[in-house]
Amino acid sequence: MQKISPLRAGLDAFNRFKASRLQNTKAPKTENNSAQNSTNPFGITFKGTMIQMDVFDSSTKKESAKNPVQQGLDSINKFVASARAATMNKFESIKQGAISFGNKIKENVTNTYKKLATTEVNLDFLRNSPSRLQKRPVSELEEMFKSEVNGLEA
Amino acid sequence: MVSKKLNNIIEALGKHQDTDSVRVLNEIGTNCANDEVRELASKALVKKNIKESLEVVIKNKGKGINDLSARVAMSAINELLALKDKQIATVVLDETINSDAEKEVVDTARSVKALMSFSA
Repeated sequence: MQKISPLRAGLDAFNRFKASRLQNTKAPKTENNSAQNSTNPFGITFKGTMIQMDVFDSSTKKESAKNPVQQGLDSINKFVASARAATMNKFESIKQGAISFGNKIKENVTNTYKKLATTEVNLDFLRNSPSRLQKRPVSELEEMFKSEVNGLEA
Repeated sequence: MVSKKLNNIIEALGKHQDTDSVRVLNEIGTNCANDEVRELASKALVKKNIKESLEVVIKNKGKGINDLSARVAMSAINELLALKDKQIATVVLDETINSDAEKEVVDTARSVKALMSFSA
């Protein structure tokens, strides 16, 4: 059986107090995380950090005793500011999409223009259509016929 | 395989108003060694549906309906049967049947006329 001195008993009590304090400080953190999500319904992040609705609090406002109505109005204001920021974020993403779409169209048009510039248009099929050929003199058609037949037999 | 251009030339000669086109189709087209060219020329001559052109494909041995190639001969016969106005063709066939032409030519003309009467 160990004899407990008053000093040792005091040290043990301090250690227990320290352990319970650590446990208490760990538990509320999880609650804070859930609170974070609940106070940021639009999931706005800044550099990877979830922004709390509290950032929309006015920095110049005075702390005073608030009645429940005033607190409710404040929370609504925060919510509206948060929604506004989220909408701005959405507009930004839409703008980026529109810009990339425009760039893609521009690139396609440029490619088509380059292709057209390097393509030779052959209109022989129009010049040698039967309706056009039959307007030519027979002697000319005879020569063409002979040359084509000779080309076929060669 | 006949080129598109050659096909168009033969078609143009077949539709040409100048009757000299018959001579060109006869001299170059129906005398060509290529079966396909002879076939196209024969069809073009039949489609012209004038006495001069039909005489080439009906009265001449080795041309049109009397061609040695069965494919060419059958094409010419089919084209004759497909004519809307067969009056001139019938006249030429009758002339051939009653002429002193070779027996083969006369027999072929008689057969085609029989077919024509069935199809009319």
